Amino acid sequence: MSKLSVMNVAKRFGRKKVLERVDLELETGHCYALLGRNGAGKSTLLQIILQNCSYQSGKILLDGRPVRNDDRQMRRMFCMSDRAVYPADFRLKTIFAMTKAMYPGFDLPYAQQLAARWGLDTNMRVGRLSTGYNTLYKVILALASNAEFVFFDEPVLGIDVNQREAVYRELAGRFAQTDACFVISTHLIEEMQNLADRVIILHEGRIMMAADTDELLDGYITVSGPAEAVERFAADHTVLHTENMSVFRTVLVKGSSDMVPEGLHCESGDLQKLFYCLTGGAPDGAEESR
Amino acid sequence: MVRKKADERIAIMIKRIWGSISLAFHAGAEVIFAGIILRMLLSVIEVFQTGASTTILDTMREDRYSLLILPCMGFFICRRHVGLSTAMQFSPAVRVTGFAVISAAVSAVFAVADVAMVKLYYNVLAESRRSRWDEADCVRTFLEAHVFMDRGEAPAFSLNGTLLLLNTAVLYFGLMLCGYLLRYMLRARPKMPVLWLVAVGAAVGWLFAMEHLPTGVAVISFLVIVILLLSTLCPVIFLFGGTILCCAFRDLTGVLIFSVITILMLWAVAVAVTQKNVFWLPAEKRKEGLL
Repeated sequence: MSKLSVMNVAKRFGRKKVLERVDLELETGHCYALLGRNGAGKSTLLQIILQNCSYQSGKILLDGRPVRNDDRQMRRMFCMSDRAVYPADFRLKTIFAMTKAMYPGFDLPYAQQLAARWGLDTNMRVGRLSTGYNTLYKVILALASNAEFVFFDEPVLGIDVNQREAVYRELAGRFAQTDACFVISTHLIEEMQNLADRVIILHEGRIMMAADTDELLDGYITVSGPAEAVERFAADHTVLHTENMSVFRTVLVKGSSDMVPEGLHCESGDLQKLFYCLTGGAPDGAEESR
Repeated sequence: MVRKKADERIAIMIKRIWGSISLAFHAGAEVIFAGIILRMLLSVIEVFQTGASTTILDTMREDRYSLLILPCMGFFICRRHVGLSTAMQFSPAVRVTGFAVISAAVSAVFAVADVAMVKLYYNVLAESRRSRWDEADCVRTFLEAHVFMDRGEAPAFSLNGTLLLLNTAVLYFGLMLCGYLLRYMLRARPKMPVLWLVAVGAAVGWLFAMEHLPTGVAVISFLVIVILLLSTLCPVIFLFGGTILCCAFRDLTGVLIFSVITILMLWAVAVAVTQKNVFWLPAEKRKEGLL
């Protein structure tokens, strides 16, 4: 099992602090969801791990050895992001061949097969692809790379819901086949709930939470029912979130289902709502009731 | 066991370096071929203009075209090369090595073509101009000066001929790398107005120098500008820059060892520049010897 350690990393853009003393450990055999609000520093953190971005302090170690300036370490990682790193006039087949040459583990037949299945013509030039297809070919590259640490920065950007399902299915299947570490940075939190076994929440430049997805969700429940009954129940518990719908009320509370009285409906925690509450709710302080 | 590991490590590194060279070629192929075609076209125009009453390109002839085209090539290749290197997760040293090998090859091609053309031009095509060689201000370019000094007596395969070729190639290589670095800095700090101001100033100054100054002075002034730009980002580069300038003042044409040092220094500068971390390190970290 390989371990990638992010130690005390800090990053500033001018006077603005983007990351502050970030400590994180990523292990192979796990799929991580890297969550955070806009500007939380998710992409910056990924680019720092991959040594594509400068940082003021800290270290990135892979199995105890620094990644910086070490080609042997850097080839163990692969990142797909929305950044346009491939020239627009390159054909997909050229990019596949090039990646195969640089990453010996790159599974070319799998990449070609996946491209055909997802309707991507490998003779197309990158610059002529739509936003969705632009994301798809990068996902294919990442999945076929066979690198130990694969980072997906917004892997479903601009992709329709049908294709998104296909991407998630492929991601889960590939993850099960390999012993790699997948790190998925996204805003589509709900969709990560069943895919990632660990969750990392980055908020205001710090790691707010890094936990096992199931353990995290088991610690929170959603209770709904008549407003009065829910209010009575909520009075004795830590309420993270409240939603009012006519005479009904739904609350997200810390605890387990066995403490919910009869007459109230209980469901296990919802990652999206939990994230919403933990990261400060609506940015404009909008009323949380309908 | 240890030996096997070391062999494996070396094999990986060799593969990565080869990969980087191939990638640099992929990134720059179009620009390189466009540059070569442009250079050839300019040569043809120059040849056809010989003896004509209007000589539009007369003051910008021979190797001066290369001195203009090569930094531009480095400048235009940079973006594609950096993008691809990022995608393939190359370390700065491997990235720069790949680009350096390709630019050295291109510089060598330009140098061979230029030396051959200047010799041909002065020995065969522009016989009438030979009489003007005695007028010092007529000898303006780097190659002209040396062909003039040789008076066509140095065969291509003589020691002097080889040195001339080598030093021309080194000069071209340096300029191509400078173009690359300039673009890299503008990419790294796109919002730094001083950088853009100096870069535009450098471009205008470079054109002026090419037009009105002897090539040696023009090349040195270009290097000074680039080094000053670099040192705003990383003080260590000032040291490298000083060495490069020493090489330039020492007269690149004469001493081979200085040419070799120049290549090494430029390579080191490029690696330092592409290690983006370097520029933003606080002073105390630099003192700790992180550089």
